[in-house]
Amino acid sequence: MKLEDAAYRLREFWGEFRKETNGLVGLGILVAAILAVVLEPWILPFPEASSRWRDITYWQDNSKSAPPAWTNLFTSRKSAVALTLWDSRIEDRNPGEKAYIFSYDYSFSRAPYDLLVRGEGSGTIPLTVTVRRPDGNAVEIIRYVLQDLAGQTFRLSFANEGRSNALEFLRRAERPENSSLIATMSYGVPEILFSKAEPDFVKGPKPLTGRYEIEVTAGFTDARASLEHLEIVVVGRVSGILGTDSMKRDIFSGVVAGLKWALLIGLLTSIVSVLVGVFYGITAAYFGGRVDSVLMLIFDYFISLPVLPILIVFSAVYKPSIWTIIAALILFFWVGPVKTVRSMALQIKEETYIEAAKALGAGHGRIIFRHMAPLLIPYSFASMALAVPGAIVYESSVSLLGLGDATIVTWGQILHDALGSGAVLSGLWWWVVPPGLLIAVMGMTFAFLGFAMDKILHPKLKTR
Amino acid sequence: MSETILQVKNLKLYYHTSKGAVKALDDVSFDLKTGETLGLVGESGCGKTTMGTGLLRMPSPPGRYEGGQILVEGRDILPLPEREIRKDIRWEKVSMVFQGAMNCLTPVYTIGKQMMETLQEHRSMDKAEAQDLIKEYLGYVGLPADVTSRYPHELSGGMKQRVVIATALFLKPRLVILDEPTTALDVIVQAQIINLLKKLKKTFDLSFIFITHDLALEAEVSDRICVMYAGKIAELGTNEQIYGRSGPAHPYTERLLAATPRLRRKVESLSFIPGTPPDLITPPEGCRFHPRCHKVYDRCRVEEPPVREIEPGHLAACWRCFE
Amino acid sequence: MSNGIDGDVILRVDDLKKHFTPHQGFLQSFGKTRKLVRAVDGISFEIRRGEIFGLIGESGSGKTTTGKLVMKLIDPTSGRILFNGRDVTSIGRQEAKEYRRQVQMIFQDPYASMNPRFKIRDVLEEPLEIHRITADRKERETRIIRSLTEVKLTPPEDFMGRFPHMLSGGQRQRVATARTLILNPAMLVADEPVSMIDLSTRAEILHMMKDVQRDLGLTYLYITHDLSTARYFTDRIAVMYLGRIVEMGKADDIIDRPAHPYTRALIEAVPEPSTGQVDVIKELPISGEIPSPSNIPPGCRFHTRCPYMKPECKEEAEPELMDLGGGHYHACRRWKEIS
Repeated sequence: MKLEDAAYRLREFWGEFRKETNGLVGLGILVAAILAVVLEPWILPFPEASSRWRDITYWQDNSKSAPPAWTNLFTSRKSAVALTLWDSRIEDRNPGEKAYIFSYDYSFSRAPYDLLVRGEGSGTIPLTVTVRRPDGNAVEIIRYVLQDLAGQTFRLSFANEGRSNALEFLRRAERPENSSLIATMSYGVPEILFSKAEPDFVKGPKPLTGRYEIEVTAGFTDARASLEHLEIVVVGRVSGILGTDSMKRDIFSGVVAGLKWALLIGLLTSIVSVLVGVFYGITAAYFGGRVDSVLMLIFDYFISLPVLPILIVFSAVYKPSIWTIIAALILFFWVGPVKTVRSMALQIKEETYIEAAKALGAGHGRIIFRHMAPLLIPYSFASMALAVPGAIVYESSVSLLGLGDATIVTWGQILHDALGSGAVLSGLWWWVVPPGLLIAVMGMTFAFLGFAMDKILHPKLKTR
Repeated sequence: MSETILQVKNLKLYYHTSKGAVKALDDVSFDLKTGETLGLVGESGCGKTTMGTGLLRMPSPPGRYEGGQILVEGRDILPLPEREIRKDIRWEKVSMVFQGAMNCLTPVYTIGKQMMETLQEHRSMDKAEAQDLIKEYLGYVGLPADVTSRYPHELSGGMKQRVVIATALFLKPRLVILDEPTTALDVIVQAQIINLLKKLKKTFDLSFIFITHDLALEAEVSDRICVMYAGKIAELGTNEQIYGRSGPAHPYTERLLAATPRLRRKVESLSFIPGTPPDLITPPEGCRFHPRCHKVYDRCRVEEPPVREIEPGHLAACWRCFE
Repeated sequence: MSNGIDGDVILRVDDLKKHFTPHQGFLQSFGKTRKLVRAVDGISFEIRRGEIFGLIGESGSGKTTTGKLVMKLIDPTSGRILFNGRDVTSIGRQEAKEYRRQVQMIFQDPYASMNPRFKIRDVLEEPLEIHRITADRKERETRIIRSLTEVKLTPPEDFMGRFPHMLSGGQRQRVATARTLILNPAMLVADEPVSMIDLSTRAEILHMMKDVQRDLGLTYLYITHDLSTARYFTDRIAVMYLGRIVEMGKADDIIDRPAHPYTRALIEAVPEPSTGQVDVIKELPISGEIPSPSNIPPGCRFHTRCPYMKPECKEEAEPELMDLGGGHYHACRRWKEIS
């Protein structure tokens, strides 16, 4: 097919495709998905989500099983949102001392789980962390000396390191009769820091909203001492666009990272298997006779194989990578278009112009590629689109059973972890719904695309 | 006793397509008497097939009647409601052998079952009576009774066509329309079927409308011949007037005849008509045949000639013929 | 009008047979009874260079199969085909391709014989591509234009960019002819080339084919069921019945003085555009229907339908073609008594 002809047919096809709302929806979602994959490094709050999905150190500063941040819109008592404060004012104090001052605007009813001071340091550095509250109180919450660091990351937890200082601050504000209750109360350092310091705190703290300043004062008497990337991490009660799971992993990052694998699995499986299937069908139809009989025998064998059980056994025994899963899927999927393509090819074969081409001296290759295949391209595209959801779901099923590729993150795997951790019973809907929904949506997208294409390009019984 | 059983008056049938109205039949008029065969002849696109289905009040969509009358035994069938047409007219008074009908026999039912179905649609008779009638008519068309238990693919082309003819006759219509009934058949089978039709016409005192593009066939079959061109009548005359020694009047008929190869006479050169039949959405001004006519003169280009009698029983639509 | 009657032989067919074993199920193929369709059952004829040779027959006669055998689209069961004196019955792929340059075919259905997605230019370029004739684009275009002009599709540039469905039946058949001519063949096999074309255009196409033949010195094998056009167009004809040739000779001779009863019946059956026949029931010297090619009657295969049949026609061996003189051959044992 010459270029102008191809361009003309493409324009013709687009003209009709435009009218199919299904197809346009599918196309829109697909374009958005591709954009998301391309822009992934900039979209993801946790860029290394895919490769470090199982690395707990990567996620350790997240909240655990935290709902998405936007759930705050639906509650009256707003929970503190996970946040990292990295911008600070630096003031020089007494010689050899620097104060890093972080501003934090707090307007929540429910305090964060914890706050962390995090940074990279070298040498020995004494640190003091002071919280200046909107009510004027300044609480010196942590006094700590970082010992002999060699450039690695350190983290100081307010909840751990600051407990005694926080309790003392509370006792000064609370009624003496309540002091016994302080020991047994369920409220921790964050509640103390972010609530009104008034009597009857133990009975129910009231949030203190306003601007807080967290000052980290570091002493640089040690010659080798240096401090870098100093941040305050607010371990919120709600976190991120899709919350976190029980392993503190940001689900949004996981899901977006999984998008590219879904697309890869879907597209690669479908393209290769349809190409194989189409040429298989054409060959069987064109050569007929014994070739056809043998090919169809092989086909009958493959099509009666039960996909999922074999995939499961295969995955359980061989612990495959995503590439071997794709290869296995191709091995099952190529049979899809064969029968239809073979029927179509058989009909095309009977057309007079095929006979005429033979009479002109055309060889097998020319007849197959120049006369028969072009008629089957439309059906092939539709077939590919429709095979994608199947591939995605099969991989998800395998991953769901814990048999997928352990070096990447796919939606099926997220679901597997969710169900394995009892997410449904614990009500962690943000862990279960997004991956499941996306599997369905991605399948639906390709189904829409496939249906729209099929409608326009469907195999015409007569090739006229 | 010969009466007029069909009168077509100024019939107009247009196909309303997205590109415009295709004037397939544009003001056509003729009569038919009992026991007479009228031949409708013309090339593809002249309107003869449209006329066939049109006379049964079954225009193929998007065809619609735009004017005129079809009088069957004096009764205009165009305004009648569908159920009345089905009850009284279609297959009762007027039946049809469609083009390629023999290939439309359902392959999964026996011949007997298919004929029975048609019969029972129209008549309530008990099965035995119906079967007798079917076998009787199969006999008339020269087929053995056991054909009822055979399937269409077991029969030859000629046999299938005989079945179709029997089906068109067994309700005893007065008029049978045959649209290219022998086109798909071999020449010997064609001759046999034509012989059969002639016999049946005599036996049942039928009238035929015989539609074909084969001028030689028309000569053997039709009492009167109506030559159609681009949805209009070009010439209408008796067999003698068209094929006789004096030759036809209309230039189109003349050239068509000259383009028909003869078997029994050595022909040095066959004539042909240059050009192609016109676009029926916007037909040419004046006479529709004028762009291809070898006798055209100025009046033909601007004014459309009416259909006029040029001698008793001989009509033509040509300015030349009126002189 | 004709030439080459005394010329040399370009194609010779020797006792050619093509028997089909229709597709049977897996289990049935183990059985003993195998229905054999004897489509072509031993035919022999010669075509002389520069002549138009007609092969006449109804459906089931084997004429189309003969055409395909001559075109080498199918292989014969037995017999020989000689082209320019060389035996081309069983030749390899390379030689078959060379044969195809010399012998080309025009098909019956002018639309179906071209890929509807190809522009006319592509349709005509394909033979050049297949046989690797000049990779130079300009030269190919020249050849294409020349072919289109030869078949009177002018201006050729107008037609090159169109698709088949944009042309009329007659125009398409011209393109089909142009496609065969572009390889400068020696012989054309035309299978019912005008039967699907309007009457008024038929003569035009036949005219064009005759002009082309004269200009390029081609030989035609013209296959048809229509005796009338055969008379007009061909020099010599062979009449086929159930896979055999029953009569052969000059077209005028055969049609004016038919010898074989089948030919007589055929001629009698053809309608004539003359007056006075409407009330006449034609006397057809033939009865019954054509037998199935899988069940060919013994002896003279026409005996089941022949009005002159005698027991010897059924019992004795099938008659071979007999020479009547003047190049007129026929296969009727009882010819002398019948005439």
